[in-house]
Amino acid sequence: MSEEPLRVEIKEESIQVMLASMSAGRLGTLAFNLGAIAWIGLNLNFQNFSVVYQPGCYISPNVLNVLSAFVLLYSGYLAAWAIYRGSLFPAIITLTFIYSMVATLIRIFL
Amino acid sequence: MTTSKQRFTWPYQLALVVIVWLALSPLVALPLYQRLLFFPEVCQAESLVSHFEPLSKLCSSIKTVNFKSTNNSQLTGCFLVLNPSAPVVLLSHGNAGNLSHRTILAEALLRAGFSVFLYDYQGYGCSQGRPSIRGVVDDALSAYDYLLTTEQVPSSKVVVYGESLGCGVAAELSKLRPVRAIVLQSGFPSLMWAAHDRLWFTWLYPQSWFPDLDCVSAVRNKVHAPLLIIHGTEDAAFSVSYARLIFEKASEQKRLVIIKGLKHNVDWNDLAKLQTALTDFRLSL
Repeated sequence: MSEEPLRVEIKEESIQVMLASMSAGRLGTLAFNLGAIAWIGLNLNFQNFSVVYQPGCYISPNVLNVLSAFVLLYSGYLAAWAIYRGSLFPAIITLTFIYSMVATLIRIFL
Repeated sequence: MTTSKQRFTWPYQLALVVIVWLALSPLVALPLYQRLLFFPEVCQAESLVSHFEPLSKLCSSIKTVNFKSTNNSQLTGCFLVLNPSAPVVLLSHGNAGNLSHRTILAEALLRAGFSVFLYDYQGYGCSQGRPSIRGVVDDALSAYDYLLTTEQVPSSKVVVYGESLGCGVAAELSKLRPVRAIVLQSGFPSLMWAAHDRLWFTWLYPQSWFPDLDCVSAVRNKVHAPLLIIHGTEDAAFSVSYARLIFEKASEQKRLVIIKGLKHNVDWNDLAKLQTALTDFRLSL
């Protein structure tokens, strides 16, 4: 009996590959959805064990605000990629979220 | 092929973005933003005094007054006189309700040793007209001028007090007229700042396109009247960090009081704490 060599086919399904396989429009929509959720997280504040939507609370940020800021930056990367690939809308809205956050932070510290 | 088709849509998408940007700009959509900002409640002139009657035991007189705004609309106010020598608080209220909803605040001020002059902006309470961002400052100026000319209150006794939206009004007033002191309760650094935080896309417009009510510019890098900033830890409308920020930017005699448990609007539970903060401030003047 001869043994056949075992063949293992590894299908690479990294997030990057998955994103690259998406159409520009879908990528833009994903960036927008992620950005919108991160924007909400950026504006949530904790008061007496309850969570309130309080725009501008990230002037003195909590943990959720900081995490959301990083997610927002990542969604900005996705949005820029979607725009590069030809889909302007709604990805551009995600960039306005980031612009708003950065401009607010600059205004606080200047 | 798909890529070139997508690139073909670029100019159309860009045109759509520009049209939306222009349509939402403060230049075009200011009436819409004002609708989102002002929540006036009308009331009958006869019922006005009855709201403040429980306070009659605290003050020497209560009277309802009428005066004209700069655009000739008739405004209504209520003057609660503690005693003729007491400093007079000119109270600019927030964006909802009318002056009859500020009885708790008026009581705290009376108990702290101030006379109180409350007035309604155009479209609020019994005042005629419609509220607008520029109009509220004009109304405050008219109220101030009324106090000085008709009620003969010297400017050295006028303390401007802003509550929420009224903080911007009081701050603008302090830029235009001499005042004894400024009190900002549950306020924001500037209206444009609050707009930026609430409607993120307003960052995309130049500052000159906004009519503004600015607390920071009234106290930053300039000589200003003694300033008291009051904010609650439970204020869900404006973060307490706003108060800290105004405090940091202010240059002169300044005081920050963070009241634990105070929400955006003052209620009976906060009366004692608010009264203490106001009394301490009055004694420091």
